[in-house]
Amino acid sequence: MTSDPQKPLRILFLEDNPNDAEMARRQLYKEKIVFDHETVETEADFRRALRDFVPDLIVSDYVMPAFDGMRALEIARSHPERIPFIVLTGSINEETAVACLKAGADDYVLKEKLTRLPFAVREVLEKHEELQGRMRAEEKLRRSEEKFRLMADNAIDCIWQLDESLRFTYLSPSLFRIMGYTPGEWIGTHISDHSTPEEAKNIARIGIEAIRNPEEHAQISFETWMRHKNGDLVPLEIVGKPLFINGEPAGLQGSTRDIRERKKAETALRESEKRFRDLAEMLPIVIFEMDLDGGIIYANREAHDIFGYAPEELSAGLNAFELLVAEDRPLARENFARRLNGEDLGTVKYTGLTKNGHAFPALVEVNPIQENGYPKGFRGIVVDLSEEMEMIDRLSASQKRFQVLFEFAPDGYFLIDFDGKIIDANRQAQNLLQQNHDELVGKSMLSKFRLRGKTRQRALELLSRNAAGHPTEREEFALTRPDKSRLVAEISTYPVKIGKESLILGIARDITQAKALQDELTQHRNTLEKIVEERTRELHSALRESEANRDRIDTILKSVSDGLLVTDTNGHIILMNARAEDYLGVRFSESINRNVSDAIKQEPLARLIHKALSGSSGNLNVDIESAPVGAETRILEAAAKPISIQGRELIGVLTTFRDVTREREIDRMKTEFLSTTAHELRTPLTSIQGFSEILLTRRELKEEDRKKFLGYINRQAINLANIINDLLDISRIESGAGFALKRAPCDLNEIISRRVELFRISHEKCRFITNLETIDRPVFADGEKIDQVMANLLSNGVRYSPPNGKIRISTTADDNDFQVTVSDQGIGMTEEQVRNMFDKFYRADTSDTAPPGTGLGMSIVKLIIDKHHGRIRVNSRPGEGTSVVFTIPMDPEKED
Amino acid sequence: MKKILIVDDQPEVRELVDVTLSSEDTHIIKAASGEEAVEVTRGESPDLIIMDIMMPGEIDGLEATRILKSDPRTRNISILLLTAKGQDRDIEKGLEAGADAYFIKPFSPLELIHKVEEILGT
Repeated sequence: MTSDPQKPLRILFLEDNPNDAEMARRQLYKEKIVFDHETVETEADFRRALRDFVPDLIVSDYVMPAFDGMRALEIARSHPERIPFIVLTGSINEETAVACLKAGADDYVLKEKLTRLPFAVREVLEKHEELQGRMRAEEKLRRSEEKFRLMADNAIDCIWQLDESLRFTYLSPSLFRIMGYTPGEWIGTHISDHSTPEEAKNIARIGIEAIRNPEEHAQISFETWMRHKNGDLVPLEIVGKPLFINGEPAGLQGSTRDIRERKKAETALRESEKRFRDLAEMLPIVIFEMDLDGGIIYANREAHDIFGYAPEELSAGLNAFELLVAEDRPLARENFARRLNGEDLGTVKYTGLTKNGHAFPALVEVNPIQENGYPKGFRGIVVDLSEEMEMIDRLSASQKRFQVLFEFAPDGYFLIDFDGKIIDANRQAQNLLQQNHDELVGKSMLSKFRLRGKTRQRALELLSRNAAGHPTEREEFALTRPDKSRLVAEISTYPVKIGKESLILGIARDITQAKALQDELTQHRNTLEKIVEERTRELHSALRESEANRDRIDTILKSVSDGLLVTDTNGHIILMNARAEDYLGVRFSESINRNVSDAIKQEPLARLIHKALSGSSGNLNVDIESAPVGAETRILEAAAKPISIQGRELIGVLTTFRDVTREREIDRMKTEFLSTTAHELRTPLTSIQGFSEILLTRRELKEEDRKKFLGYINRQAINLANIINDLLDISRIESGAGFALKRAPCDLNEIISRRVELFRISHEKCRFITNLETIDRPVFADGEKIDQVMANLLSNGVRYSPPNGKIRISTTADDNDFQVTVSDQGIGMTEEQVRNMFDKFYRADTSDTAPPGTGLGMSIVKLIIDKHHGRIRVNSRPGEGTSVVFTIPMDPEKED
Repeated sequence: MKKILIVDDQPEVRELVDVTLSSEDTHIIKAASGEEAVEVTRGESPDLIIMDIMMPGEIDGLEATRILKSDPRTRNISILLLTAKGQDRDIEKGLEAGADAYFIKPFSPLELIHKVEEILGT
């Protein structure tokens, strides 16, 4: 019964008589009507109760002293809510009743018939509810219509209705805004009247279809164009559905939307999309779009290139997370989720994975793609950092290298800004300044080193030059270090740019030592110069002296008859005189500074010099045979003498060469002679010893044999005596004692002829022919010696003559000289033999079958002739005999 | 009977050696040069040669000794060099040439006999 079963009924009694009210209530209890109640009598209370109690029903007395039912009814009816009103009255006539009802009461109940009250209440409430319901429905409808109207009037879209012939029955005012026509202008027109002919056909078709098949939930939706009042074609979206009035199809209703903007927007979007795509394709970074599951929707060309997948593969549903290395995927998923939550992560570094499994560092940034306010996926970029990473590595490696170079450079390196504040200082700089890194960095150079006055000025100048972009080179600065020692440094500065900073690189080279040395050196040099001056003067005078000496030496060298050769300690030829040149057959100019064994091909000489250099104390002589081209062969005796300074330092070797050809020849002849002599002595001795022993030991010798043997002995004894005599002569000649001539006036012809006679007797086989010119004076000579000469000459003649050879002896004289000629037809002599004939011990024929002789004969002859101040000459040709001519002065006194 | 060849260019020496060595047991033949010595030796095959060194001609006593000593036919014939060349070096050379003995002039005939007996084993 009540509208809300939970809420109890509220009844407001308007009664001045409480008993009446009571009775009324009692009636309601009887009928099991549950209610709350309030009772009022005054208007004020009544109003208040209406307000506060909010009754569902008013039961009011018709007549009350202060306040009557009609008035209450008036008030109730002016109350916004219609509250059911029952009038309770005593007797009432019909007119009053009708008046009540007309006034708006819902019912009236007579007090006498109070039992009717509950039913009246129920009835009234029911009716009220019904009425309320109806009123509500009506209100609803009204509201809905209002709403519709409101909507329709205010809708941007144009709401319309068409009848079954597709003519407009209703159009909302928006039509004007959209098409420029008022609704009135279009009402009654056909839906296809306002388009292009083609479109009209299309619209008509759709409309007719819809009309033909009106289903409850059928909906038409299409885009079309209609002509604006101003002639433009306006793009429209038409949505509609069947219209039912009272359940019967009555046409179509729907809305038409002006989609100009949308169309523009769509075009703009398409263009923008296109621009985006074009840009995306162009860019050298990967641009991709993926859905919320990671499925790739779009990937630009770079994506294909970088990741190595073909376009088909990428759009075939490859998951974006597969493009990262496995280790990064969980993190990536987490990050994407956070991004979805609205967290802005910026760019994240991942390791990308190509189709070939190559991993590379990549920067990824994603943004959600929003649609209708919800993210439908992600759009992102991937930047391949491989190159950058490489560059960074290289850069950092290179940076490291520079750092190392800077730090460990052998010179002090420091970086300062243009105010002179120290930014960095390397190890060596710290060493030089005796300050560590922290003590230097951040401090001002000028104050740190207490640069004052000129030094400060110079430093400031350097800084300003650097500021102007100029480097400075090698400025010397001196400062005192913490340990009070002095540092002199050569500073060069260079403006540099490190990153964005402009700084100054300073290089300091420690030249303290060098400077000190330099100073010392300068001092020394000055001293030296003085010394040199002095010495030069001394040298000049010494030189002048030595030049004089040299001339002397040169003269001596030239005149010395020995060959001289001076070699240095390396065996190189320093000096050679002309004689040595001749002897050795080499020129000094071609030999100077060459090694002696190289310049002079004489091994014994080289060995000798080497021996002298090595300090050998043995015999430093050697014979060398020299046979220079175009000159005769010589035997040279080389004597080497080491030359040293003051007996200490060896500076070279002086070798003298003596021509000992003749000496050696003579020695050879002497040895030869001795050997021969020994032989000659032995030969007669053999007979003497041998035969005398036979005579002594053999008794049974025949007498004739005995005589024969004694004869041999005798002969050989005489022979022996002769040999010994000759030897004695020789020894006399050798010792140089010579012999004295006993001169006397002599008849030489006589002496000569006697000697010849003797030879005739003893040498029967030879023919001696004399031709002695008579002279009127004697010759003042030693007759015996001349006799000896003749004996020798004749002996030779005989010795070398063939059997029956002729030997001629002739003499002649003029005023001054007496001349003797002895010539034979013998074997003759060669030039060499002639030359050497008079040499002691020279025997032209040294073979054993040569006629016996000691070889001394001719030298004795020569000696005798010389002593007489005479001359002797020999002419001979091999095979043609020999002729010896000698002359002696008639009177030597005259000659002398 | 031993055949002894005496080689010396000097007739007196040849005679001396001949007188010294002549006996019933010896047959003396003589030569006056190196060439002759070689010829005669090849022809007569003496048991002993007494040879002087210094002789005229192309072949002296040493050379003759070498020739005879290197010839298989005459190698075994004893050669005694009798020479005035008495230096150590000369003796060396003589023995190097192949001589079996070396006597220096002047010599004692008795000593020569002894040496010859020794060589010939008589």
